[in-house]
Amino acid sequence: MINLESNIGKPADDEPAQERAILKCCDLSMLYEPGKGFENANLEIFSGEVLAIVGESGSGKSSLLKTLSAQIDSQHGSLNYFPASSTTSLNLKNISEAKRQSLIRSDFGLVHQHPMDGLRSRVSAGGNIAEPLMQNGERNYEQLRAQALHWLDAVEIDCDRIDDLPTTFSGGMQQRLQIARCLVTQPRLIFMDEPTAGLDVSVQARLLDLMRKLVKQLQLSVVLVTHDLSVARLLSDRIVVMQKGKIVEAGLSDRVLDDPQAPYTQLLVSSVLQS
Amino acid sequence: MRSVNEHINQSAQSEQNYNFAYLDEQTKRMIRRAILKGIAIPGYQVAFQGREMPMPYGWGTGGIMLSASILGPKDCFKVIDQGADDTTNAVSIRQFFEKVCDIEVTQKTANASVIQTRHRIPEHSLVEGQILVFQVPIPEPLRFIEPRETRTKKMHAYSDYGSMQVKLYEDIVQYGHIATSYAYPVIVHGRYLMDPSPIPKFDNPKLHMSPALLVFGAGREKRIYCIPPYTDVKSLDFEDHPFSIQQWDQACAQCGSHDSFLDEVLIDDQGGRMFVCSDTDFCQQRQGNSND
Repeated sequence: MINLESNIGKPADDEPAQERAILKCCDLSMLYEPGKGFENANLEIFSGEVLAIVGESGSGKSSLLKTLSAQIDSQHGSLNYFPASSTTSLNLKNISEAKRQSLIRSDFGLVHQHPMDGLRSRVSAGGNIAEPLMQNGERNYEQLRAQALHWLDAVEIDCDRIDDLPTTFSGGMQQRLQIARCLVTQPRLIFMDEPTAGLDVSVQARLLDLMRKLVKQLQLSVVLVTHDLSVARLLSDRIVVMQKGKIVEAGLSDRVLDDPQAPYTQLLVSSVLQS
Repeated sequence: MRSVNEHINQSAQSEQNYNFAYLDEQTKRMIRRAILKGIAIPGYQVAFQGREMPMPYGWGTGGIMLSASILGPKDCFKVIDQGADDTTNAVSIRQFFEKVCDIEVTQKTANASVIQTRHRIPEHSLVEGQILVFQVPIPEPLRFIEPRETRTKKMHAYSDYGSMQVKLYEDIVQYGHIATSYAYPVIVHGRYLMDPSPIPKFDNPKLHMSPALLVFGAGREKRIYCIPPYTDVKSLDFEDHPFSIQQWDQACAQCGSHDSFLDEVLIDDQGGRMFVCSDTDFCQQRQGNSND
């Protein structure tokens, strides 16, 4: 019936985490019209790493994220996912929509910029966290409850708030709740679209701290879209810089930020206020 | 110019100028095809081309269209509303079909070949060959959780029904038990999630392995879905909060039944109340028997 495969866990322990690509795209393009979207993107995302996609508004970074997370289709190029359970890769463009959906549900997590885009406003916080588990077939109320409490605690939300509606939460709490809902199925790969935009600086700092902790603890792979270089510096292992729909530079975070090569990256880095 | 005689003849026949069962034959064929498709895919909502009926939406137009398409001259027809044969909705629909079909009508569940219902399944167990027609206000069980039709269609396509459990989860959070008491969602034949129209959950077990054919019609949203005879129907629940039906401490004040669905009726302005069977035919039969 609704029994999907159980959650696919974290990367195998016996392999060095950094060496295995879990998502790979070649010549991926998605242009809504000439100059809008992105083209010829070549990327690999490795197990256990945080990849930041930075660039100005309209540079195509959100479109790239949506395409990588299989929310929208690309026009050409290939997109391959390497499931933990098998050695062969899956071409996300060729598999059936049903299979893609179940894969997204079990292996991918998505954090929206606006928390209420990823939450149900008329369902309690606990229900919001438990829903992905119910989608994966969990039918034990006590279990669901325990998981909800566990994840509320993990994202530092008071457990007394489990039965409150997310609309009664502050912006920072809503964002943490969204992250809890996203992590509860223990996905391998998380896509975040500007998760800290719209939060004030102190709340941002706390959220970044929490995210850094969770990413390390759970050995997550993360693709993070941001326009904020300090967020990228704090969280990411590697950075991809986009401009006008093209990837202009990619490399290790410290290398890109300390020794930017492309003119656009140099401009970007130099425009950040130095303390 | 027509003669006066012809004119009089014409008016005398005007009652018979309706096609049998009001709808034209093409429409009935179209609806029967939708029913057949619904039977082939138990629980799946089949779209059909609804027709204007001489009454407003919400009065059972979906059920009436289905009844009109499946009734034949030899059928015996029964209509119930909230279990009762003598309420406004039931009486007007019964009279409508008496007028446009000239068929036999009955109040006895056992005698009827086609029963149109709103809110209840008769207490008297149905048998093979009977057809139960439900009037459905909102056919989509996922509407509470997902307002977009494009999304609910995909959710059905991928049996993505986990969100439906959220509704039950929220019930337990708020009330300590699953408080949904009518339109309680079911999984039909291990595949499609279905809203069994606003019947009380008391009647849900009667859907399971029913010997009668159950057809559901939503007039406003133009959807038909069916449960063929002897189909597995399971009500959603949690392992540690299993599905259960309503129970009453009282027995029916009129017939003394302990195992029927009871309505609470106020009898004075002093707070006096009594519980009586909602199924009037069942209650009267029992009273008749106990009087013997």
